[in-house]
Amino acid sequence: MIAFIFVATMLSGLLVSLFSRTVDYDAVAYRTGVVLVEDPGEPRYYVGSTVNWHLLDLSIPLERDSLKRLGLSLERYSPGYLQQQKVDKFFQHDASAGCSGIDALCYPDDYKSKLIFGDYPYSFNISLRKLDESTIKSVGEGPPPHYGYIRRLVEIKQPGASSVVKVINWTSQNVVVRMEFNELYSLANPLYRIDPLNEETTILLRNFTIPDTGLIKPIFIDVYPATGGAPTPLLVPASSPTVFIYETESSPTPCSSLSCSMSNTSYLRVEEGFFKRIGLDEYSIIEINMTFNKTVSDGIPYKFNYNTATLPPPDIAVMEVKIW
Amino acid sequence: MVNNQGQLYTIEGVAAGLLMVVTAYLIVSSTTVLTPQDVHIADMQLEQLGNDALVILDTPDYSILNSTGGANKSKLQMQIESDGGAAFGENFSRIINSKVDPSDHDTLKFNATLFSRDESTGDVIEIQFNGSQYYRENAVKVNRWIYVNPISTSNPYGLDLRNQTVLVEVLLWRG
Repeated sequence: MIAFIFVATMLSGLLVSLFSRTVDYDAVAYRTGVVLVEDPGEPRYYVGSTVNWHLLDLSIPLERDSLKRLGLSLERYSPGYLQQQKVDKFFQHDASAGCSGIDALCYPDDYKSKLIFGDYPYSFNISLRKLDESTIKSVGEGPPPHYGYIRRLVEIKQPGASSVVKVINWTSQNVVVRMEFNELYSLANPLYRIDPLNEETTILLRNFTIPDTGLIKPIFIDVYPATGGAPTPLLVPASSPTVFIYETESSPTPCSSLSCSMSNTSYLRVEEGFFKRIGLDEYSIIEINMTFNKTVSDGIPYKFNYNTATLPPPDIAVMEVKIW
Repeated sequence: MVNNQGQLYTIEGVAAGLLMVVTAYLIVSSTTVLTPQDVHIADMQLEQLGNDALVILDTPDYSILNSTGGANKSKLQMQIESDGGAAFGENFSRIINSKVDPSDHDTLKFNATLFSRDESTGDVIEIQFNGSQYYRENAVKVNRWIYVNPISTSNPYGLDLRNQTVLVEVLLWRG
Protein backbone atom coordinates (compact mmCIF):
# COMPACT_ATOMS: atom_id res chain seq x y z
CA MET A 1 0.00 0.00 0.00
CA ILE A 2 2.74 2.46 1.04
CA ALA A 3 4.75 1.51 -2.04
CA PHE A 4 1.75 2.22 -4.24
CA ILE A 5 1.17 5.64 -2.73
CA PHE A 6 4.86 6.45 -3.12
CA VAL A 7 4.82 5.59 -6.80
CA ALA A 8 1.61 7.56 -7.32
CA THR A 9 3.20 10.58 -5.63
CA MET A 10 6.28 10.43 -7.81
CA LEU A 11 4.18 9.95 -10.90
CA SER A 12 2.32 13.21 -10.34
CA GLY A 13 5.67 14.92 -9.98
CA LEU A 14 6.65 13.57 -13.37
CA LEU A 15 3.40 14.73 -14.92
CA VAL A 16 3.83 18.27 -13.64
CA SER A 17 6.45 18.98 -16.28
CA LEU A 18 4.01 17.88 -18.99
CA PHE A 19 1.13 19.82 -17.49
CA SER A 20 3.13 23.02 -17.05
CA ARG A 21 3.91 23.22 -20.73
CA THR A 22 0.64 24.99 -21.55
CA VAL A 23 1.36 27.50 -18.79
CA ASP A 24 4.85 27.84 -20.18
CA TYR A 25 3.58 28.62 -23.69
CA ASP A 26 1.43 31.43 -22.35
CA ALA A 27 4.38 32.77 -20.39
CA VAL A 28 6.65 32.71 -23.44
CA ALA A 29 3.95 34.40 -25.52
CA TYR A 30 3.64 37.10 -22.85
CA ARG A 31 7.40 37.59 -22.72
CA THR A 32 7.64 37.78 -26.51
CA GLY A 33 4.84 40.36 -26.54
CA VAL A 34 6.69 42.47 -23.98
CA VAL A 35 9.94 42.37 -25.96
CA LEU A 36 8.11 43.37 -29.14
CA VAL A 37 5.97 46.15 -27.69
CA GLU A 38 8.05 47.61 -24.87
CA ASP A 39 11.63 47.24 -26.06
CA PRO A 40 13.36 49.21 -28.87
CA GLY A 41 15.58 46.25 -29.75
CA GLU A 42 19.34 46.20 -30.05
CA PRO A 43 21.13 48.11 -31.48
CA ARG A 44 18.93 50.98 -30.42
CA TYR A 45 19.46 54.62 -31.02
CA TYR A 46 20.54 57.02 -28.29
CA VAL A 47 22.80 60.03 -28.12
CA GLY A 48 26.25 59.16 -29.37
CA SER A 49 25.33 55.60 -30.31
CA THR A 50 25.09 53.82 -33.60
CA VAL A 51 21.80 53.29 -35.38
CA ASN A 52 18.37 51.89 -34.76
CA TRP A 53 18.35 48.30 -35.94
CA HIS A 54 15.93 48.96 -38.78
CA LEU A 55 18.64 50.99 -40.52
CA LEU A 56 21.07 48.04 -40.60
CA ASP A 57 21.81 46.59 -44.01
CA LEU A 58 21.44 42.88 -43.23
CA SER A 59 23.07 41.84 -46.49
CA ILE A 60 26.40 42.87 -44.96
CA PRO A 61 27.55 40.14 -42.51
CA LEU A 62 29.04 42.61 -40.02
CA GLU A 63 25.79 44.55 -39.76
CA ARG A 64 23.73 41.35 -39.48
CA ASP A 65 26.06 40.28 -36.71
CA SER A 66 25.40 43.47 -34.73
CA LEU A 67 21.65 42.81 -34.61
CA LYS A 68 21.00 41.44 -31.14
CA ARG A 69 17.32 41.76 -30.28
CA LEU A 70 14.12 42.46 -32.23
CA GLY A 71 12.15 45.01 -30.22
CA LEU A 72 9.77 47.30 -32.11
CA SER A 73 9.15 50.25 -29.77
CA LEU A 74 10.39 53.76 -30.48
CA GLU A 75 12.51 54.06 -27.37
CA ARG A 76 13.05 52.44 -24.00
CA TYR A 77 10.54 54.64 -22.20
CA SER A 78 7.75 54.58 -24.75
CA PRO A 79 6.03 51.21 -24.25
CA GLY A 80 3.21 50.62 -26.70
CA TYR A 81 4.49 53.13 -29.25
CA LEU A 82 6.06 51.28 -32.18
CA GLN A 83 8.18 52.46 -35.08
CA GLN A 84 6.68 51.72 -38.50
CA GLN A 85 10.03 50.94 -40.15
CA LYS A 86 10.89 48.40 -37.44
CA VAL A 87 7.50 46.77 -37.95
CA ASP A 88 8.08 46.61 -41.72
CA LYS A 89 11.57 45.19 -41.34
CA PHE A 90 10.38 42.69 -38.73
CA PHE A 91 7.81 41.10 -41.02
CA GLN A 92 10.16 41.02 -44.00
CA HIS A 93 11.90 37.65 -43.93
CA ASP A 94 13.72 35.15 -46.03
CA ALA A 95 13.71 31.38 -45.62
CA SER A 96 16.91 30.50 -47.47
CA ALA A 97 19.65 28.80 -45.48
CA GLY A 98 21.98 31.36 -43.90
CA CYS A 99 20.30 34.24 -45.77
CA SER A 100 23.71 35.56 -46.80
CA GLY A 101 23.63 38.66 -48.95
CA ILE A 102 19.92 39.32 -48.33
CA ASP A 103 18.67 42.41 -46.52
CA ALA A 104 15.93 40.57 -44.60
CA LEU A 105 15.58 38.66 -41.36
CA CYS A 106 16.31 34.96 -41.54
CA TYR A 107 13.28 32.74 -40.85
CA PRO A 108 13.07 31.09 -38.36
CA ASP A 109 16.61 31.39 -36.93
CA ASP A 110 16.73 35.16 -36.39
CA TYR A 111 13.30 35.16 -34.73
CA LYS A 112 14.14 32.27 -32.43
CA SER A 113 17.54 33.58 -31.36
CA LYS A 114 16.74 37.31 -31.22
CA LEU A 115 13.16 37.36 -30.00
CA ILE A 116 11.85 34.08 -28.51
CA PHE A 117 15.11 33.02 -26.79
CA GLY A 118 15.59 29.88 -24.70
CA ASP A 119 16.82 26.37 -25.46
CA TYR A 120 13.44 24.80 -26.06
CA PRO A 121 12.60 24.98 -29.79
CA TYR A 122 9.32 26.91 -29.64
CA SER A 123 7.26 27.47 -32.76
CA PHE A 124 5.59 30.82 -33.21
CA ASN A 125 3.17 32.91 -35.20
CA ILE A 126 3.22 36.70 -34.82
CA SER A 127 0.69 38.81 -36.68
CA LEU A 128 -0.30 42.45 -36.79
CA ARG A 129 -3.09 44.48 -38.36
CA LYS A 130 -3.83 48.19 -38.31
CA LEU A 131 -7.40 48.68 -37.11
CA ASP A 132 -8.32 50.82 -40.13
CA GLU A 133 -6.95 48.32 -42.62
CA SER A 134 -7.63 44.71 -43.49
CA THR A 135 -4.05 43.81 -44.49
CA ILE A 136 -2.48 41.32 -42.08
CA LYS A 137 1.26 41.16 -41.61
CA SER A 138 2.45 37.90 -40.17
CA VAL A 139 5.45 35.66 -39.65
CA GLY A 140 5.46 32.00 -38.64
CA GLU A 141 3.52 28.83 -39.37
CA GLY A 142 -0.18 28.22 -38.83
CA PRO A 143 -0.78 27.35 -35.16
CA PRO A 144 -2.07 23.98 -33.85
CA PRO A 145 -5.38 23.86 -31.88
CA HIS A 146 -3.74 24.73 -28.54
CA TYR A 147 -1.10 27.39 -28.12
CA GLY A 148 0.14 30.12 -25.78
CA TYR A 149 -1.43 33.43 -26.60
CA ILE A 150 -1.24 37.16 -25.95
CA ARG A 151 -2.90 40.08 -27.70
CA ARG A 152 -1.46 43.59 -27.52
CA LEU A 153 -2.76 46.96 -28.66
CA VAL A 154 -0.21 49.44 -29.97
CA GLU A 155 0.20 52.80 -31.67
CA ILE A 156 2.56 52.91 -34.63
CA LYS A 157 4.37 56.14 -35.36
CA GLN A 158 4.22 57.02 -39.03
CA PRO A 159 7.51 58.19 -40.50
CA GLY A 160 8.19 60.98 -42.95
CA ALA A 161 7.92 64.55 -41.76
CA SER A 162 7.30 66.90 -44.66
CA SER A 163 7.19 70.61 -45.19
CA VAL A 164 6.06 72.77 -48.08
CA VAL A 165 8.44 75.25 -49.68
CA LYS A 166 6.71 77.79 -51.94
CA VAL A 167 9.26 79.41 -54.18
CA ILE A 168 8.93 83.03 -55.30
CA ASN A 169 10.27 84.79 -58.37
CA TRP A 170 12.77 87.04 -56.75
CA THR A 171 16.48 87.69 -56.86
CA SER A 172 18.26 84.50 -55.87
CA GLN A 173 18.81 81.19 -57.65
CA ASN A 174 19.33 79.32 -54.38
CA VAL A 175 16.61 77.55 -52.46
CA VAL A 176 17.91 76.75 -48.99
CA VAL A 177 16.16 74.64 -46.34
CA ARG A 178 17.58 74.97 -42.85
CA MET A 179 17.19 72.24 -40.23
CA GLU A 180 18.26 72.68 -36.63
CA PHE A 181 18.17 69.20 -35.17
CA ASN A 182 18.34 70.25 -31.53
CA GLU A 183 15.05 72.08 -32.01
CA LEU A 184 13.46 68.98 -33.59
CA TYR A 185 14.78 66.55 -30.96
CA SER A 186 13.75 68.65 -27.97
CA LEU A 187 10.12 67.43 -28.22
CA ALA A 188 9.40 65.16 -25.26
CA ASN A 189 6.82 62.80 -26.76
CA PRO A 190 8.59 60.45 -29.20
CA LEU A 191 5.32 59.63 -30.95
CA TYR A 192 5.14 63.10 -32.48
CA ARG A 193 8.83 63.88 -32.80
CA ILE A 194 10.29 64.86 -36.17
CA ASP A 195 13.17 62.41 -36.42
CA PRO A 196 15.28 63.06 -39.56
CA LEU A 197 18.13 60.85 -38.32
CA ASN A 198 15.95 57.72 -38.33
CA GLU A 199 13.20 58.55 -40.81
CA GLU A 200 12.91 59.93 -44.28
CA THR A 201 12.25 63.63 -44.72
CA THR A 202 10.31 65.20 -47.57
CA ILE A 203 10.37 68.78 -48.80
CA LEU A 204 7.52 69.58 -51.17
CA LEU A 205 8.64 72.17 -53.73
CA ARG A 206 5.73 74.27 -54.98
CA ASN A 207 4.97 77.29 -57.10
CA PHE A 208 7.55 76.98 -59.90
CA THR A 209 5.92 79.32 -62.42
CA ILE A 210 8.80 79.88 -64.85
CA PRO A 211 8.91 77.05 -67.43
CA ASP A 212 12.03 74.87 -67.68
CA THR A 213 13.30 75.70 -64.24
CA GLY A 214 15.91 73.10 -63.35
CA LEU A 215 18.94 72.47 -61.17
CA ILE A 216 22.23 73.80 -62.51
CA LYS A 217 24.35 72.32 -59.73
CA PRO A 218 24.08 69.05 -57.83
CA ILE A 219 22.33 69.37 -54.45
CA PHE A 220 24.71 69.87 -51.56
CA ILE A 221 24.40 69.98 -47.78
CA ASP A 222 26.03 72.68 -45.69
CA VAL A 223 26.95 71.24 -42.30
CA TYR A 224 27.56 73.87 -39.64
CA PRO A 225 30.20 73.02 -37.04
CA ALA A 226 28.96 72.73 -33.47
CA THR A 227 31.48 75.31 -32.37
CA GLY A 228 30.29 77.90 -34.90
CA GLY A 229 32.05 79.23 -37.95
CA ALA A 230 31.78 78.58 -41.64
CA PRO A 231 29.84 75.50 -42.84
CA THR A 232 31.35 72.54 -44.63
CA PRO A 233 29.65 71.79 -47.96
CA LEU A 234 28.98 68.08 -48.63
CA LEU A 235 27.92 66.77 -52.03
CA VAL A 236 25.18 64.16 -51.82
CA PRO A 237 26.31 60.65 -52.80
CA ALA A 238 24.88 58.77 -55.76
CA SER A 239 24.03 55.58 -53.86
CA SER A 240 21.37 55.09 -51.17
CA PRO A 241 20.78 56.37 -48.57
CA THR A 242 20.97 59.76 -50.23
CA VAL A 243 18.93 62.79 -51.34
CA PHE A 244 16.68 62.59 -54.38
CA ILE A 245 14.67 65.17 -56.28
CA TYR A 246 11.52 64.19 -58.19
CA GLU A 247 9.98 66.16 -61.08
CA THR A 248 6.36 65.41 -60.16
CA GLU A 249 4.48 63.56 -57.45
CA SER A 250 3.87 60.65 -59.82
CA SER A 251 7.47 60.34 -61.04
CA PRO A 252 8.50 56.75 -60.43
CA THR A 253 12.22 57.54 -60.47
CA PRO A 254 14.18 60.56 -59.28
CA CYS A 255 15.87 62.99 -61.66
CA SER A 256 19.28 61.53 -62.23
CA SER A 257 20.81 64.45 -64.05
CA LEU A 258 20.57 68.20 -63.93
CA SER A 259 18.21 68.16 -66.88
CA CYS A 260 14.97 67.74 -64.97
CA SER A 261 12.42 70.53 -65.04
CA MET A 262 10.50 71.47 -61.94
CA SER A 263 6.72 71.44 -61.71
CA ASN A 264 4.16 72.39 -59.13
CA THR A 265 4.33 68.93 -57.55
CA SER A 266 8.10 68.45 -57.39
CA TYR A 267 9.63 67.24 -54.19
CA LEU A 268 12.92 66.50 -52.53
CA ARG A 269 13.29 63.32 -50.50
CA VAL A 270 16.02 62.68 -47.95
CA GLU A 271 16.15 58.91 -47.46
CA GLU A 272 16.15 57.47 -43.95
CA GLY A 273 19.64 56.99 -42.63
CA PHE A 274 21.21 59.64 -44.89
CA PHE A 275 21.88 62.11 -42.09
CA LYS A 276 23.39 59.30 -40.03
CA ARG A 277 25.56 58.37 -42.99
CA ILE A 278 27.12 61.82 -43.16
CA GLY A 279 27.77 61.69 -39.41
CA LEU A 280 25.13 64.03 -37.99
CA ASP A 281 23.61 63.88 -34.50
CA GLU A 282 20.80 65.58 -32.52
CA TYR A 283 22.74 68.82 -32.25
CA SER A 284 23.61 69.27 -35.93
CA ILE A 285 22.62 72.30 -37.93
CA ILE A 286 22.43 71.84 -41.69
CA GLU A 287 21.20 73.58 -44.80
CA ILE A 288 20.06 71.75 -47.91
CA ASN A 289 21.10 73.79 -50.94
CA MET A 290 19.43 73.63 -54.35
CA THR A 291 20.71 75.93 -57.09
CA PHE A 292 18.35 76.54 -60.01
CA ASN A 293 18.85 78.15 -63.43
CA LYS A 294 16.16 80.76 -62.74
CA THR A 295 15.68 83.23 -59.91
CA VAL A 296 13.28 81.39 -57.63
CA SER A 297 13.88 82.70 -54.14
CA ASP A 298 14.70 85.66 -51.98
CA GLY A 299 17.75 83.86 -50.61
CA ILE A 300 16.38 83.58 -47.08
CA PRO A 301 16.56 79.97 -45.82
CA TYR A 302 13.26 78.14 -45.32
CA LYS A 303 13.06 76.71 -41.81
CA PHE A 304 12.15 73.07 -41.28
CA ASN A 305 10.67 72.88 -37.77
CA TYR A 306 7.47 72.17 -35.83
CA ASN A 307 5.85 75.33 -37.20
CA THR A 308 6.41 74.49 -40.86
CA ALA A 309 6.56 70.68 -41.02
CA THR A 310 3.84 68.10 -40.48
CA LEU A 311 4.01 64.46 -39.51
CA PRO A 312 1.40 61.82 -40.44
CA PRO A 313 -0.75 60.82 -37.42
CA PRO A 314 0.02 57.49 -35.71
CA ASP A 315 -1.99 54.34 -36.47
CA ILE A 316 -3.58 52.02 -33.90
CA ALA A 317 -2.85 48.34 -34.47
CA VAL A 318 -3.53 45.00 -32.83
CA MET A 319 -0.82 42.36 -32.50
CA GLU A 320 -1.19 38.67 -31.66
CA VAL A 321 1.59 36.36 -30.51
CA LYS A 322 1.02 32.60 -30.59
CA ILE A 323 3.60 30.15 -29.20
CA TRP A 324 3.58 26.34 -29.15
CA MET B 1 -4.59 -9.33 33.37
CA VAL B 2 -1.77 -8.47 30.96
CA ASN B 3 -1.23 -10.94 28.12
CA ASN B 4 0.09 -11.20 24.52
CA GLN B 5 -3.24 -10.37 22.92
CA GLY B 6 -3.34 -6.88 24.38
CA GLN B 7 0.17 -6.07 23.14
CA LEU B 8 -0.69 -7.21 19.60
CA TYR B 9 -3.78 -5.00 19.58
CA THR B 10 -1.69 -2.02 20.66
CA ILE B 11 0.95 -2.59 17.96
CA GLU B 12 -1.74 -3.02 15.33
CA GLY B 13 -3.42 0.22 16.40
CA VAL B 14 -0.19 2.21 16.30
CA ALA B 15 0.74 0.76 12.90
CA ALA B 16 -2.71 1.57 11.47
CA GLY B 17 -2.49 5.09 12.86
CA LEU B 18 0.95 5.62 11.32
CA LEU B 19 -0.28 4.27 7.99
CA MET B 20 -3.23 6.64 7.99
CA VAL B 21 -1.09 9.66 8.88
CA VAL B 22 1.50 8.81 6.20
CA THR B 23 -1.24 8.23 3.61
CA ALA B 24 -2.94 11.52 4.43
CA TYR B 25 0.40 13.35 4.27
CA LEU B 26 1.33 11.83 0.93
CA ILE B 27 -2.06 12.55 -0.58
CA VAL B 28 -2.03 16.15 0.58
CA SER B 29 1.53 16.76 -0.58
CA SER B 30 0.91 15.17 -3.98
CA THR B 31 -2.32 17.04 -4.78
CA THR B 32 -1.13 20.57 -3.96
CA VAL B 33 1.31 20.48 -6.85
CA LEU B 34 -1.51 20.27 -9.36
CA THR B 35 -3.00 23.73 -8.71
CA PRO B 36 -4.39 24.92 -12.04
CA GLN B 37 -2.72 28.16 -13.10
CA ASP B 38 -4.76 28.77 -16.23
CA VAL B 39 -7.08 31.19 -14.49
CA HIS B 40 -4.21 33.53 -13.62
CA ILE B 41 -2.95 33.43 -17.18
CA ALA B 42 -6.35 34.33 -18.59
CA ASP B 43 -6.62 37.21 -16.11
CA MET B 44 -3.15 38.43 -17.04
CA GLN B 45 -4.03 38.45 -20.74
CA LEU B 46 -7.15 40.49 -20.06
CA GLU B 47 -5.34 42.89 -17.77
CA GLN B 48 -2.61 43.50 -20.35
CA LEU B 49 -5.18 44.23 -23.04
CA GLY B 50 -7.08 46.66 -20.81
CA ASN B 51 -3.91 48.53 -19.88
CA ASP B 52 -2.84 48.76 -23.52
CA ALA B 53 -6.24 50.15 -24.47
CA LEU B 54 -6.11 52.81 -21.73
CA VAL B 55 -2.60 53.84 -22.86
CA ILE B 56 -3.85 54.26 -26.43
CA LEU B 57 -6.89 56.29 -25.40
CA ASP B 58 -4.72 58.44 -23.13
CA THR B 59 -2.18 59.25 -25.86
CA PRO B 60 -2.05 63.01 -26.49
CA ASP B 61 -3.74 64.25 -29.59
CA TYR B 62 -1.95 64.75 -32.86
CA SER B 63 -2.66 68.47 -32.70
CA ILE B 64 0.56 69.00 -30.75
CA LEU B 65 2.19 69.61 -34.13
CA ASN B 66 -0.29 72.32 -35.11
CA SER B 67 1.47 75.64 -35.18
CA THR B 68 -1.69 77.19 -33.77
CA GLY B 69 -1.19 75.09 -30.64
CA GLY B 70 -4.17 72.73 -30.59
CA ALA B 71 -5.74 71.24 -27.53
CA ASN B 72 -3.09 68.51 -27.26
CA LYS B 73 -5.36 66.42 -25.11
CA SER B 74 -5.89 62.69 -25.18
CA LYS B 75 -9.23 61.19 -26.22
CA LEU B 76 -9.87 59.98 -22.69
CA GLN B 77 -9.14 63.43 -21.27
CA MET B 78 -11.63 65.03 -23.67
CA GLN B 79 -14.25 62.38 -22.88
CA ILE B 80 -14.03 62.99 -19.13
CA GLU B 81 -14.00 66.77 -19.50
CA SER B 82 -16.73 67.19 -22.08
CA ASP B 83 -17.55 64.45 -24.59
CA GLY B 84 -18.96 61.91 -22.12
CA GLY B 85 -18.71 58.19 -21.52
CA ALA B 86 -20.58 57.03 -24.62
CA ALA B 87 -17.68 58.16 -26.82
CA PHE B 88 -15.27 56.37 -24.48
CA GLY B 89 -17.35 53.18 -24.54
CA GLU B 90 -17.40 53.09 -28.30
CA ASN B 91 -13.63 53.58 -28.62
CA PHE B 92 -12.73 51.23 -25.79
CA SER B 93 -15.04 48.44 -26.86
CA ARG B 94 -13.85 48.64 -30.46
CA ILE B 95 -10.16 48.38 -29.69
CA ILE B 96 -10.28 45.71 -26.98
CA ASN B 97 -12.47 43.46 -29.13
CA SER B 98 -10.37 43.81 -32.29
CA LYS B 99 -8.39 40.81 -33.45
CA VAL B 100 -5.79 40.49 -36.17
CA ASP B 101 -8.25 38.57 -38.33
CA PRO B 102 -10.59 41.39 -39.48
CA SER B 103 -13.57 39.02 -39.74
CA ASP B 104 -13.19 37.88 -36.14
CA HIS B 105 -13.75 39.81 -32.94
CA ASP B 106 -13.75 39.16 -29.22
CA THR B 107 -16.72 39.53 -26.87
CA LEU B 108 -15.19 41.34 -23.93
CA LYS B 109 -17.42 43.44 -21.69
CA PHE B 110 -16.40 46.26 -19.40
CA ASN B 111 -17.63 48.72 -16.83
CA ALA B 112 -15.77 52.00 -16.31
CA THR B 113 -15.94 54.18 -13.22
CA LEU B 114 -14.36 57.56 -12.43
CA PHE B 115 -13.09 58.53 -9.00
CA SER B 116 -12.52 62.19 -8.24
CA ARG B 117 -12.12 64.24 -5.07
CA ASP B 118 -14.72 66.81 -4.12
CA GLU B 119 -12.75 69.76 -2.78
CA SER B 120 -15.52 71.24 -0.63
CA THR B 121 -16.17 68.08 1.38
CA GLY B 122 -12.86 66.30 0.83
CA ASP B 123 -14.70 63.12 -0.13
CA VAL B 124 -13.78 60.85 -2.98
CA ILE B 125 -16.78 60.56 -5.25
CA GLU B 126 -17.53 57.65 -7.53
CA ILE B 127 -19.05 58.38 -10.95
CA GLN B 128 -20.42 55.78 -13.35
CA PHE B 129 -18.62 56.46 -16.65
CA ASN B 130 -19.74 53.84 -19.17
CA GLY B 131 -20.15 50.12 -19.71
CA SER B 132 -22.33 47.07 -19.31
CA GLN B 133 -24.05 45.95 -16.10
CA TYR B 134 -21.67 43.94 -13.96
CA TYR B 135 -23.19 40.75 -12.43
CA ARG B 136 -20.17 39.48 -10.51
CA GLU B 137 -18.56 37.64 -13.39
CA ASN B 138 -14.90 36.70 -13.11
CA ALA B 139 -13.40 40.10 -13.89
CA VAL B 140 -10.08 41.91 -13.77
CA LYS B 141 -9.54 45.54 -12.89
CA VAL B 142 -7.30 47.99 -14.75
CA ASN B 143 -6.89 51.65 -13.97
CA ARG B 144 -5.13 54.81 -15.04
CA TRP B 145 -4.73 58.29 -13.59
CA ILE B 146 -5.92 60.95 -16.02
CA TYR B 147 -5.12 64.63 -15.77
CA VAL B 148 -8.16 66.80 -16.55
CA ASN B 149 -9.11 70.44 -16.42
CA PRO B 150 -12.89 70.78 -16.87
CA ILE B 151 -14.52 74.10 -17.72
CA SER B 152 -18.01 75.18 -16.67
CA THR B 153 -19.63 75.26 -20.14
CA SER B 154 -19.43 71.51 -20.65
CA ASN B 155 -18.80 69.34 -17.65
CA PRO B 156 -21.06 66.28 -17.88
CA TYR B 157 -19.77 64.65 -14.69
CA GLY B 158 -19.91 67.78 -12.51
CA LEU B 159 -16.24 67.64 -11.58
CA ASP B 160 -14.63 70.46 -9.62
CA LEU B 161 -13.53 73.22 -11.98
CA ARG B 162 -9.80 72.96 -11.40
CA ASN B 163 -6.74 71.08 -12.66
CA GLN B 164 -6.96 67.65 -11.14
CA THR B 165 -6.18 64.00 -11.60
CA VAL B 166 -9.04 61.52 -11.70
CA LEU B 167 -8.80 57.76 -11.50
CA VAL B 168 -10.39 55.77 -14.31
CA GLU B 169 -11.11 52.22 -13.18
CA VAL B 170 -12.26 49.64 -15.70
CA LEU B 171 -13.64 46.21 -14.83
CA LEU B 172 -13.11 43.80 -17.70
CA TRP B 173 -14.65 40.39 -18.23
CA ARG B 174 -15.37 37.91 -20.97
CA GLY B 175 -18.99 38.19 -21.99
